[in-house]
Amino acid sequence: MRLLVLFLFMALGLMSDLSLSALTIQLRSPLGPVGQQEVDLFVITDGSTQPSASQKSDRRGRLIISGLPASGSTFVVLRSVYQGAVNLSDLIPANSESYTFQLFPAASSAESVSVEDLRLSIEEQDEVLRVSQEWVIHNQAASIFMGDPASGETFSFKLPAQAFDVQMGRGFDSSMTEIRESQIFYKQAIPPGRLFLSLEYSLEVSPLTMNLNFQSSLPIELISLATSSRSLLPKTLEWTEGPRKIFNSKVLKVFSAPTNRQLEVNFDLKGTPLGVRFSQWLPVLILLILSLAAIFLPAPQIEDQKPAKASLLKRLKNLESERRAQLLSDDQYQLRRLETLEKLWPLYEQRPQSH
Amino acid sequence: MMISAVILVSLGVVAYLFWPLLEKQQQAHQTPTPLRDLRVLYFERARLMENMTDLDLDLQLQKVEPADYQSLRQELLLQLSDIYEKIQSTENNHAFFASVEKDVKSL
Repeated sequence: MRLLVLFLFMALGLMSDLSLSALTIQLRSPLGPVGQQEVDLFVITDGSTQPSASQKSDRRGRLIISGLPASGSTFVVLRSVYQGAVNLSDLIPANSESYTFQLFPAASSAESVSVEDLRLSIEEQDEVLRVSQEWVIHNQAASIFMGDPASGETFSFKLPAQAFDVQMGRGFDSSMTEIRESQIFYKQAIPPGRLFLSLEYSLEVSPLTMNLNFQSSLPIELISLATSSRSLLPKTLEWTEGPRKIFNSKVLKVFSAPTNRQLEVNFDLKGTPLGVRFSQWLPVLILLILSLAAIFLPAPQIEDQKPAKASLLKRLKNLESERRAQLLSDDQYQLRRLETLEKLWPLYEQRPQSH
Repeated sequence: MMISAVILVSLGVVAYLFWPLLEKQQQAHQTPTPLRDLRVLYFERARLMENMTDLDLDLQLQKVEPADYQSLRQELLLQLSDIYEKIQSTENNHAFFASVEKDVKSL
């Protein structure tokens, strides 16, 4: 009996684990449903990807994938080549009931693709300027921009000449990115919508004026700069203040300026650059205070520290009286008289003396 | 670079501020010539007076002959006379002493 109950529970467990579900896929293009379209299916379970058999959509662009495991850790990715463009779906949970797979055709022209925003955040770190740079690329067409057919390059840009210690970030795939000198080539297709590419690099702080040059293969519509002070913004562009944002745990203001779809943005960062600490201004502050002190403080009056002339003269009179009263010897008198006369000398030195 | 510049300029400002004080103190430490001369003369006078006292003692203890005593005493008196003359001359040749004397009397 005990064995029977055990087998029963084991069977129930296996059945629940092996329960299968069906996923309905709707293929759509900008023109409508896409019928008779071949779709490759990839099943991802616990991080490992298994290709599955390809299937074709029906005349209404519908496709049913059955026999998928219903566990929450299984995902499906669809791939379909539509009018020359490789379309990939999002990660679809296998236990979903339906999904619309949007297909876009290929486009070799970049007319509708531009850099919507070139975002920069510049801050001082250990005597260098650390620049966080993000390209927001917007493909407004209903097609996938495939780039140059020969090289596959869809987007390229140039870093400022002074840049070093470059670290690629979000959106860059090492196998699809090429760096030649200070130019970076992006070789992935750009689908409709927005694409975010970010990287970081350092610049030397030393010059008081630093020219920054950004070149792009796509027109740049807007440039945004996150900084702690408006006074540090380059004057050659018309900046408007946006919302505050947090960059590396610091709250910074974001300023934006239109760049009229230029392929190159060029500006100077003037003054001691961004994020200068108070301690670095301290010597200048001390210098300022000392200069003001030199201008406004009166010169020391040492006359005030001397015994008054009258008291010295009185002392001489007293010495004379003490000598006459034989309270002082002649030597003591002369010695003390001389000491008093030496103190009196500067007070009389302005008077004309005869020789 | 900036710190070096600030230090140099700060030193300059401090020197500018305290220069008059240093100058005055330097002047104060310089004993004027007539007073220095007087000090030397008074020291010499005290030395001669001491020699005179010693000579008197030597006579009393019969360490020196009366004839020699008179000769030596005369020599010391001549030297003292010369010192007194110089003291008088120094004080007479500088209006400072006359001015002080006048001011003391007017008290």
